Amino acid sequence: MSLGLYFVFGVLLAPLYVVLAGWILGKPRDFRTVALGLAILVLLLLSPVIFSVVPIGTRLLIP
Amino acid sequence: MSAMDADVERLTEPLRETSTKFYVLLVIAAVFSGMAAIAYFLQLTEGMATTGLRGWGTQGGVPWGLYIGTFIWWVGIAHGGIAVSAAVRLFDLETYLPIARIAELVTIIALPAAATNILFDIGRPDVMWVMIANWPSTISHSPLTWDMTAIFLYFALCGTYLAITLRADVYECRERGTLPSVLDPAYRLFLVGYTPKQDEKTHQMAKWLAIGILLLVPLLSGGVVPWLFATMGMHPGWFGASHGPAMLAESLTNAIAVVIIVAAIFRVGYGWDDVIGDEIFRGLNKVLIALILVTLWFLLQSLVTGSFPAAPSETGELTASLVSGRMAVPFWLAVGGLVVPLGYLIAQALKPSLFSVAASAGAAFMVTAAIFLKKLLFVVEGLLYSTREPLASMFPEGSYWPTLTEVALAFGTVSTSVLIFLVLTKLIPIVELPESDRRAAGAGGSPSGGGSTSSANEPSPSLGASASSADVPEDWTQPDPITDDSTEVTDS
Repeated sequence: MSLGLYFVFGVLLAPLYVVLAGWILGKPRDFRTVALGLAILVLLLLSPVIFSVVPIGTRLLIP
Repeated sequence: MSAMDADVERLTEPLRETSTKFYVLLVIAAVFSGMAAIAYFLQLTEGMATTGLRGWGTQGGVPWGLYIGTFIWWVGIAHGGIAVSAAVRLFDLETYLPIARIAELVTIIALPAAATNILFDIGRPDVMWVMIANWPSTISHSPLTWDMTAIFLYFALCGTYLAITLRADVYECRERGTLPSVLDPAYRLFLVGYTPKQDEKTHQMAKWLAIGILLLVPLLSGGVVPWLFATMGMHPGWFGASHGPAMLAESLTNAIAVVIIVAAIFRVGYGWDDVIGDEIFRGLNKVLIALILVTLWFLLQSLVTGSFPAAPSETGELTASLVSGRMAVPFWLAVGGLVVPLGYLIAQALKPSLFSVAASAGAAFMVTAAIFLKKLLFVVEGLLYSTREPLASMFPEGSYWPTLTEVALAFGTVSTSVLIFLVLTKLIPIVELPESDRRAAGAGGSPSGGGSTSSANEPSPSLGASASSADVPEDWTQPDPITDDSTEVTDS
């Protein structure tokens, strides 16, 4: 495994692991609210990916 | 009308009232954004030749210039905003609660603004998709991909933080009928699954998000962004281990300066002298003093090591250019832009009568402009000078001057951000409603009969017309507002 994979999955994503662990294991336990928060988080994580598809349309407008 | 109602009414004032000043600012921001759109169309149709960017080496130019400098500037701004809010939540710095959401919005707007500058720099925008599609194969070795990953993660964490804390306030404002009714379907969509009973868990989730965000800040602005440069050994001025902490200090300095400016605009615009009180600006000024000193300390490190006779030749050449060569004017302007405001900030800290919000905002503006210049110089300096031999003898010294297209686009991200900010003030409560107000409303007037499940006896400060921030400690000792004012809230 290379430096980048150790760094990204071991260090860079650590804050995300901390957040998810805090949500799930922390009290008060309310998995419905956690699920809602997780849905928002996933939607926002995917939004830049979705929006990056939009510029492909510029190929049609400006060949 | 109860004190709580008065608070909420004042804090949601931007949703209901629109002044002439607002429209003037809106038109100015829209005009500059329109100019940026025209410039972008020009760049797309005519190509990158409309910019001052040229290939490094054979073309004697710089491929990274104003766009990348503006990108780093925006990323820096993105940190402070949410950091202020996270600190409020984690360390119970209730004094700063009135500017917490303003600061969060600064972050949420700054991140896409930063990404937009990358879009400008790569030329054809569809290349952005190529970067994402190649993520699995480049993540192992590309600092650019690490950067993209960190920014996406930061955006998602900050967006979630804003969304889950905002839902309670939107619910409350919707119950009061303060939100624009035409957008009711959008608010209903935003509130899907929300009940006031979730508030306690939401509060706990927001605290964990604050921890995650604060952990990510040094990894982003003090990590992956500076590593775009600090890992490149072939460019003078870029390679080195100190760029991470130095850039983090600059970014936080910049961010706090922008939060001061935006908070001052809101205070003046809405006459919120009591909501965003002097003590908030005085506190932020103190933080700014410390951060400017750290930034200057890092600057001193690079100047001393770069000017020493034993420094590597290309680093020495670069430092000489900054101190007394062709980059001396912008360099010393940047230094002056930090030192002069520092002088004022220290003076007003020692002699409180010198303090004023306008002067604080002016000092903050000088600081953010100085950091902008410094970031731009940092990007350009590593590319202008041919690197070590034999390349140094093969290529001429480069040159760079941004064109009008670049200026229009880079500053267009500022005007567009202002435009988005103005529109958002009309859509959501711009100041987080105090917990006590929501509890009072939940107990007295909410049709759902909801209210926070957090302890009703928990002391909470009140903000707004009835209490200046200086009164906050006294307010904590007052009787629980639920029992005192619930009837009045319902009636009014």
